[in-house]
Amino acid sequence: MKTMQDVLQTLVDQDLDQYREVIDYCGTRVTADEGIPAIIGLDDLTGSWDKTYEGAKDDEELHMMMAAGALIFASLYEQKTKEELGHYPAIAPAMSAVAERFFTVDENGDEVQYREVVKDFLKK
Amino acid sequence: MNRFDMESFVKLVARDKRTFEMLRYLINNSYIRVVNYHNTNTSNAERYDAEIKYYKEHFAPVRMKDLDTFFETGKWPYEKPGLIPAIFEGFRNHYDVMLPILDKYEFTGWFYLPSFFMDVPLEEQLAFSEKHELDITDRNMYPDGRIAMNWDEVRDIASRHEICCHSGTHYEITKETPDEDMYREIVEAKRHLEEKIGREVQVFCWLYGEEYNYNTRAHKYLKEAGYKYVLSNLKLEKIK
Amino acid sequence: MDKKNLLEQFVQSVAKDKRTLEMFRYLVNNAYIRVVNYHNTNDRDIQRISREISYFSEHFVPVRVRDLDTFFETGKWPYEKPGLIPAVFEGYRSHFDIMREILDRYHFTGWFYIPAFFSEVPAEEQYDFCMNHRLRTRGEYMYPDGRIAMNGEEIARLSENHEICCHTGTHYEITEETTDEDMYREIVASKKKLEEYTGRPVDVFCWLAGEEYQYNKKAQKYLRMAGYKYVVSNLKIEKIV
Repeated sequence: MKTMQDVLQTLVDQDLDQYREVIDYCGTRVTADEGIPAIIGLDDLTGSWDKTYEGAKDDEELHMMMAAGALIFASLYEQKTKEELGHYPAIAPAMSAVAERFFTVDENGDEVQYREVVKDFLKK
Repeated sequence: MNRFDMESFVKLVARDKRTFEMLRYLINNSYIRVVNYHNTNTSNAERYDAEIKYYKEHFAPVRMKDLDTFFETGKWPYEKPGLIPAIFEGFRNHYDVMLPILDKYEFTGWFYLPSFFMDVPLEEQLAFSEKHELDITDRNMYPDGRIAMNWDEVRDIASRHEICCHSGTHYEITKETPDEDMYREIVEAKRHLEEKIGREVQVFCWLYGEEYNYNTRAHKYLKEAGYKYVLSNLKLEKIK
Repeated sequence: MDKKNLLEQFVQSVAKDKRTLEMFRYLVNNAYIRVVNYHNTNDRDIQRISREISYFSEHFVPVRVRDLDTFFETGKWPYEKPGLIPAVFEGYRSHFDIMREILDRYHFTGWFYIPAFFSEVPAEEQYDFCMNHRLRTRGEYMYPDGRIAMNGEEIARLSENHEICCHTGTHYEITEETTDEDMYREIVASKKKLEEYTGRPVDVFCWLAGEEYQYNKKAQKYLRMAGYKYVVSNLKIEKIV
């Protein structure tokens, strides 16, 4: 299983093309008709500043990869113009790209992209 | 940024406050997967079936009480991570297409309804949807013109799924929205929905997904209405 | 422990508190300012304080409220040197007699955070007032007449070269449970009192125990009503209008 270190290492190795490819794919989705994955924060505004949580066992290591991935996607979306981003801040499409790229893991611990789920229905 | 340069990378990610917030949620396990749906037309039924089937295998469905538990105990109560299919706008095709699929796999959907859409007379619904940015992609699906769910359908969904308020008329609430509009779209919208389904509505969802602290003027109304959670496009915030 | 675990542990610990990443972001985005906090400025410390202010004046620029206005408006710090704010808390008389004199000598601007109604307490009750309002002073040895607080006239003169900021009315801790009446007195009436002395607008409010603007939803109404421009907490200066 990859850790945040691995993902950051990937970044240092300049392999951003995979991330750009995910961004391009995300741009082809039809939001009015398709299920669009996202990851949203859960925040207790009635709680303390330093409240932390324990997640699902199946997500134990994936969440750190998602965290590193969110920064990478955010940095790439930050380079787009306001017109390209539309209504939303760069982090919003970035979180959707994170959900697309790191949707879940298979039995080998490799991440499964969301498009795998709908692969039979993708437009050619 | 073709060659990796830590400094410009950090500057880019630091531009928006929310980027670090999201980083923190991911690191601290305070996040949840959501898949957003708008139109669920018959032509895509097989695709939705494949998606919900996959969710059922890999994720736990999420009820409101699971979130309450999560915030109370600081621990996600299942082995599998949670996933929320979030179904927006109260379209009739949700009832006809999405609901049977969710029921088939016993997976919980969260339906975000503009509460006054259901009351619009048949013949005016299309015009209403155009005026209020409720984008219909298959105009021929219902020859009788009813594109919104009716209240019987909503009640049926409410008996086994989550119903959330998505303003009254799919209205964009900004910092400049007059008080009476805020009251109608936040408070009356909730009460109307509750009256119709006979059940408490705990989640409010803005249009364009601004978060709770963005609109401080709306706090008063969210509080008066008695919502427990506010959903934006980046967060689900517990406010009471 | 191997390197991998160290990184994960490091990341997890900086993510624990919301504010850590916020502060990191301020630093990366150049949105920060140096502050040196002072409370008592007694005569036995004159040399040390003089040395500090002299050092500040060599390496930093003094900061006026209007410099912050410019900074937020243009997104650019307007000077070559970074800014530094000597923040002088509680409105003690020694600030007028000692701190003001030192700051003026080096042409450096102090920001004085004053609980507005402290100045009105009769001299003979001021020591008790300090004890009851968490004003940690031993100023009694300096002033045999018992007056510990600056009076209105001193505050007015201080405001000629320095920034006067409101630090509540009675050094009062404002919480979510504070009544409306108390909020009004400590946030709104206190500002009016200071403005009465100085004849200038007071733009800055500073809480006790340094909670930030978003912390107290109920107080936001009064901060707006009073017309403050900035709220100072121990981690931030927030522009609120």
